Amino acid sequence: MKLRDQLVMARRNLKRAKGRTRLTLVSIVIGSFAVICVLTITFTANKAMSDYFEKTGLLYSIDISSTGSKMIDQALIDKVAALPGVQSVSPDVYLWFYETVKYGDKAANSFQSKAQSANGTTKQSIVAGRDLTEADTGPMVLVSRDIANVLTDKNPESLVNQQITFMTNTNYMGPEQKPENCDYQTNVCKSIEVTATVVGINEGQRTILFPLQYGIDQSSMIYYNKVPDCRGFQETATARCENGFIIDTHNQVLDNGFNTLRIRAQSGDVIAGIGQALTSQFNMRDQKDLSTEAGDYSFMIGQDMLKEALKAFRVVSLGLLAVGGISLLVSAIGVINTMLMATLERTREIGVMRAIGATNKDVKRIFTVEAALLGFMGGVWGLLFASAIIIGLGTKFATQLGDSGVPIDVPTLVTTGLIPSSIVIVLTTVIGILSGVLPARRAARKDPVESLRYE
Amino acid sequence: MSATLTQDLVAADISLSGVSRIYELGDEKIHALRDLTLDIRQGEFVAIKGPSGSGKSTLANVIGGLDTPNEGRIVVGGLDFSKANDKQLSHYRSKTIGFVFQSFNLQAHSTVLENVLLPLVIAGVDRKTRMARAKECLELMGLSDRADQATNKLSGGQRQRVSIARALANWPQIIIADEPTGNLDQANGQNVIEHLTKLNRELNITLILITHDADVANKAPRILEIVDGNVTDRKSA
Ligand SMILES: Nc1ncnc2c1ncn2[C@@H]1O[C@H](COP(=O)(O)OP(=O)(O)O)[C@@H](O)[C@H]1O
Ligand SMILES: [Mg+2]
Repeated sequence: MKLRDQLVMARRNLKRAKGRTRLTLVSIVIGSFAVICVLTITFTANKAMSDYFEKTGLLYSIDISSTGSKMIDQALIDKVAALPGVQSVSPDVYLWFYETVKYGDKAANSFQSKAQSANGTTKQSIVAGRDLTEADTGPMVLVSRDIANVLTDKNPESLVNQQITFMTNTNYMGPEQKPENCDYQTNVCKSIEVTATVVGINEGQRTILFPLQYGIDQSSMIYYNKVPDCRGFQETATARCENGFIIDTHNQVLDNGFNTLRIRAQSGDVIAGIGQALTSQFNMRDQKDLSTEAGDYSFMIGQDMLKEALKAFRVVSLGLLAVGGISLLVSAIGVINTMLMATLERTREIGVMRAIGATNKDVKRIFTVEAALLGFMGGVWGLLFASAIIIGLGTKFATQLGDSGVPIDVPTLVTTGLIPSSIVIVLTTVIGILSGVLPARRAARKDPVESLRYE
Repeated sequence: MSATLTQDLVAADISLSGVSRIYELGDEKIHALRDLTLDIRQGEFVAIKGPSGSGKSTLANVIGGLDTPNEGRIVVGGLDFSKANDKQLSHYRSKTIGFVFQSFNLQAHSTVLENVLLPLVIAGVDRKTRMARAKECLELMGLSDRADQATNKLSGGQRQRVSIARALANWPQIIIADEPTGNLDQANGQNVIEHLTKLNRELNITLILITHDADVANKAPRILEIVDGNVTDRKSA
């Protein structure tokens, strides 16, 4: 008997027992749907995460922060930059005093203002305009697309070369602040407006990036202390006394150190070596080594962050996969039951087939192909449903995800998620075949004479 | 019959010697066939008659390679059943012999054509040939206009002719009909017998017709009478 004819026959036999076939299919469809969805999400998210790490340079980065005893100063930065394998370094300065950003009548509140070197330590994905360069030192910014969207009502490109305005919080006593705005008892000042020019828009999440030098300059705070009089006051490099006020200038970055320091390694291979050098030369500790006591600094390797993120994700998806797997297992029992019923129902038919020339093997194959077809169709329907839902949801949320810097869109979902996941059809077909083994063997072993007499 | 669809019949003479088929029901042993020796030559028309339970169906099944005797030797067209494996016996059932049953044994929800196609599909005959052959067999049975009807919409006589067409599909040398008129009225029975004997006359197909009806049996030039699993051979009256 030809395989093609066996498939036709299997299809007809499944159609004949329509209700039973559908019920059996439902359980396979649910199982394969669940597995396909989980696999698609896992594959796509893994890819997106890895892409994100690659694109931003996080994959080659090491982030250093102080544990409190020692600070990240220029001397340290220079030494770290000279380590073998280090391509570039950049400290971060948080401009914590910018609370609100405004453009025209639009405003955005929750964002992070940060200054860093434009030396490629952190890679920017420019969407419009240009990246910051090392020549930029003044009030120029790179705005993430999500913020630009809010400020321009979804026309981010239009923000390039425009002036945006930052509202400072009441603790800002930087260079732009005027003494008359401040209450000298409490050191609380009025909120003032600081303007900056947008040079470009990048992908990213709620961030506004400034040139490093600008961040350092703005971190210079002036504190006023009212004293009865200035007589006898010893002037220092940072403090003087005028009109009953001690005026104390204090640069938060230069005096207290940078918040963090990021290293970009020349390649992935040298990262471990740099880590060892950091530990041995500067008493730094890798954050993932929980056993050692705290050093002067701690550092975090980007690759490890990715590994951790993927691992956490893997645990979740394995859990979900187990649920899908169990429902596939249950559906296998359904297939066995369905096929056993079919062999019983079609006993006489089996006898007739044997009488008109079917071999044991033919009968076995007829039932095996039928079970395989059940599995295959269950897998196909599962894939169809999963595709509809994933593409549907993907279309709805892809733009939001894209804006937030997560590179997930429908084509990515399909090519990195759905297409590899369709391997599940092979799985359901194999489950069908395996579930069909016992019933098919039973059908093939039936005695033809007995079968022909069966009522 | 068109020339391309006719296959030259290689003689398939039937030879049984010392064949016994014993069923065991608990301690009791039932001899359905008892030391039976018999020869049927290609192209013969043989009626087998006997009372109910005498072993007629068992004889049909062992000749058809569906049932295996406990003792004795069966050789048909050079194939020794005792030395044949399942594949060879199935091939024999497919190509050499055609069964016609009392209860038709058609696939109720399939069409007439599909029923006749089934043995050809099982034999792996290509689509074009099998379609032509099935239609040819239906024409021979006067059922051309019924090809696309479901078999459960047909009368008993028509159904039995469908099953004869099915038995004929793979160009068999032998047709065994086990009480083919048992479920039919007089007129339909007559008609079915005529179709069967025509195959014997015109195509030289060996016809083994099992019946307990003396009138039907008497149409055959050779009648075998089975009593208690034993056969006596005599010429038609
Ligand atoms: N599977 C079986 N188990 C036990 N006895 C059987 C079986 N098949 C047939 N027989 C017995 O063998 C004898 C011959 O049966 P069968 O060939 O069907 O007779 P017939 O077709 O002439 O009516 C009967 O006595 C019947 O009861
Ligand atoms: Mg009988």
